[in-house]
This record gives sequence, C-alpha cells and structure tokens, in this order.
Amino acid sequence: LTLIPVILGLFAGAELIDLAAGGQPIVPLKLALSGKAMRHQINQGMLEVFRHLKLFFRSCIMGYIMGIAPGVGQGAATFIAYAQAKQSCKNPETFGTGRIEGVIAPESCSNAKEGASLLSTIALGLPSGPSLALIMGALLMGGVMPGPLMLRDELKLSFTLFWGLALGNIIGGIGCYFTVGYLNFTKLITMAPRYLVAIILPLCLIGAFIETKDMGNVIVAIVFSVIGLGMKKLGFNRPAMTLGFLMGAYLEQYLWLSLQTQGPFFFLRPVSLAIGVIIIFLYLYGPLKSLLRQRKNKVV
Amino acid sequence: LKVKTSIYIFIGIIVLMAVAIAMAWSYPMLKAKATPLVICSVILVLSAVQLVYEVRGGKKQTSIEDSMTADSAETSIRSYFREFAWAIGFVVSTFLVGFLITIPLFDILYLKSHGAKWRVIVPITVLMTTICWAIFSWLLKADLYPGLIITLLGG
Repeated sequence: LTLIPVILGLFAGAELIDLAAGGQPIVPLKLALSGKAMRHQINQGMLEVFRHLKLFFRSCIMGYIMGIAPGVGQGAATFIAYAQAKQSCKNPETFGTGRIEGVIAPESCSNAKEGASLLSTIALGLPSGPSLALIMGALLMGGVMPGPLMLRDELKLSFTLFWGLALGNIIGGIGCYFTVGYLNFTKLITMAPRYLVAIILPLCLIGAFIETKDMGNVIVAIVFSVIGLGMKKLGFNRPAMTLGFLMGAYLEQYLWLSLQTQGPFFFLRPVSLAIGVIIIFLYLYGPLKSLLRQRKNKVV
Repeated sequence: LKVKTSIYIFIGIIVLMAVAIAMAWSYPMLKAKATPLVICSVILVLSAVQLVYEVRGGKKQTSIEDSMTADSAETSIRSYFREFAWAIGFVVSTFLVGFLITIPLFDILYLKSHGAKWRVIVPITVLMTTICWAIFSWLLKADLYPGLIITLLGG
C-alpha cells in the first residue's frame, strides 16, 4: 500500500462522506465571519504563537532534529510533534476539539523540518521527502552533485537555496494573510456539502490514482474512507494509525537489522536505551503530571 | 447488565492479536516472525490495559461510547450508505468509461439528485472537467485512466 491513497481515504474521504451524510455545511452561512472579523481572528491566531513560545521552540527543535535524520517523512514529523504537544498538555483529552496547541506544534515542526531536510539533502545527498528529491533531481540535472563537497564547491548556491526557503516561507505567510484576511477564502466552508463532494471527491480519487497510475489505489482510498469513518465514529485516533502505517516499514527493516547485529537485547545498548527511556518518559509524563496534580489538590 | 460497545471492540482486538501471535509463532523464519510478534504483543498488552480501563469506567470524556452517541443521532446510517454508494458508483464508472467521462457524469447526477439547480450544476461540471483535463492530462501529461470500454473501443 502507498501512503497517498491511505491518507486520502482516512482523512479526506472519511470527512467528506461524513459531511455529505450530515447534509449541513461545516459552518452555517450566518455564522461566517466578515473580512474585518476574520482579520481580527488571524491577528489573534498569530498572537497565540507568542503565548505558546515554549511549545513553539520545542516543536521547532524536534522538527529540526527529525529533518536532519534522513528518512523521517513530513507526515511522521508532524504527527510526532502533535503527539508530544498532546502528551505535554495539562488536559490531553481536550485535543481534537480545536486546541491551538494542536496546530502550533505540527506546523512549527513541519516548517523547521524543511530547512533541516535541505541541509541533509545538500550535505549528505539524502533527501527526506518527495519535494527535496525533486530539488535534488533539479541539482543533478544542472550538473551539481549534492553531498559533502557541495558545501565546499557550491557554497553560494547552497546559501541561495537556504535563503530561498526562508524567504519563501515569509512570502507565503504574507500571501496567506491577504488571501484569507482580505479575499476571505474561508467562506468556502459555508458551502453546502453537495458542492464540496462534487468538487473534492473526483480530485481525491484522481489524487489516489495519479501517484502510481493504478486503479487499485482508488479502491484502497475508498476502503480507507470506510475505515476512517468507522474510526472517527468510534473515537479511534486516525493520526496514530497513520504514524503506525508510516513507521511500519522502518520498524520491520531496522528491527531485523538490530536483531542481526546486536542480538535480542539490542535495546540495552546505550543509544537505544536512552531513546527508550525518553519515549517512556514522554508516554508517562502526562498521566504522572495529572496524578501529581490530583494528589496536590487533595492535600489542599 | 448493559455492556459497553468499546469492551466488545477491545476483546475483539485482543482475540485477533492472540490469533496473529499464534500464527506468527509458527512461521519458520525469524525474519518473518519478528515484526508481527513484536507489534502484535505490544497491541495485545495495550488493548488489555485499555480493556481494564474501560471495564473500570475510566476516562469518561473520551470513551468510545460518548463519541459514538454524540453524532450518531444526527445522521442516519442510511445516509452514510447512500454517500458511499455514490463514491463506489464513481469508481465503477471510472473503471468503465474513465475519469474524464465519469467526472461530468458524476457531477451532474450527484448534484441533480441532491436538489441543486441547473444554473449551478452546469458551471461546476464544466469547471471541474476543464480543471481535471487541463491540470492532469494537458499540463502534467499524467494519462488519466481511460476506462475499459474506451480502451476496448481503441480510444
């Protein structure tokens, strides 16, 4: 199975079917914001980042580390950032109800990852995703060989790429501010679901088909729409499933490699042990924190 | 005694994982059995923990029961089946006549059956067909699936 049809089915397909079956728009027209109110909301949204600076920097650092590590995809990085934001939140059960931390963490991680991924692409010649593979292909076509020597021989070009990425993000942000704030594209969410289905469903299914030109992937997208809808209705975590899907192949490959090289107790090696301890700590951090708070409240 | 749906689900997952572990155990090669054994064991343990949690009635805000009852009352199962039938119809039609015929056909039939007016149906249909053709076939040269009938007719 390839990632795109699975993601399209689990998220876009499931949401679209749910919306269409409900028959109501995401936001009723009478509740849609005017241009001025929308700009106010955007400004408030920007301020939220400064109110969550700790989370912002933590997610950026995570994104940077994951970006340098070759092989960690964009999807995996954003889901891990979301999971750590949820784990470190005082009320993790409120995630999925529109908490701003759930937006800040994956977005800042995703943007930080892109810059770091460019570094690993240029310095090591290892692209971490399709967009960087495309950049690497363009460099190769232009006669530039990405790798350690590029930073010595093509320093000017390397910095052009870094600055291009940074400026691109800033210009993109300004563009979004004006298209959303002044042209008010968000009114699309007041559209009746029947129109959204007529527009989005064909695009989703073409998206599922186009990567491998295989009609089987269209069926995969439909099957995962059913699974996604079922998971949504039963309260199961769809990003967690996506993360499992993404990491499954790596897990199989590296588990076998570790077993071969270090034996069954490979996880007791210093680096593995340290990573294991960090994971267990992150897993237990939220519940322990709430347990301590409960005890503290009881004492008071 | 009313038993929560989530309890059945977690019992189902535990049984499924136990079967998967037993099957993986019988694989002759360690390379084949390593990953299923590790993953299924972890899922089995976590499902057992969650089952105990559900039986004891913990984590009330996010229990499966709550999320199911929250919106199931608003939308009937029939409407979900109807929407899935449209999606399956789209796929079947694509198999037969390809994307570029299915898209206008789907848009007209779907919108008309959902009560849209012709003055909205026609622009959406024309726009969608043009966009899909222009982006995928013309610009990206992506060769959208032509469909079984069109292929047999030599199109």
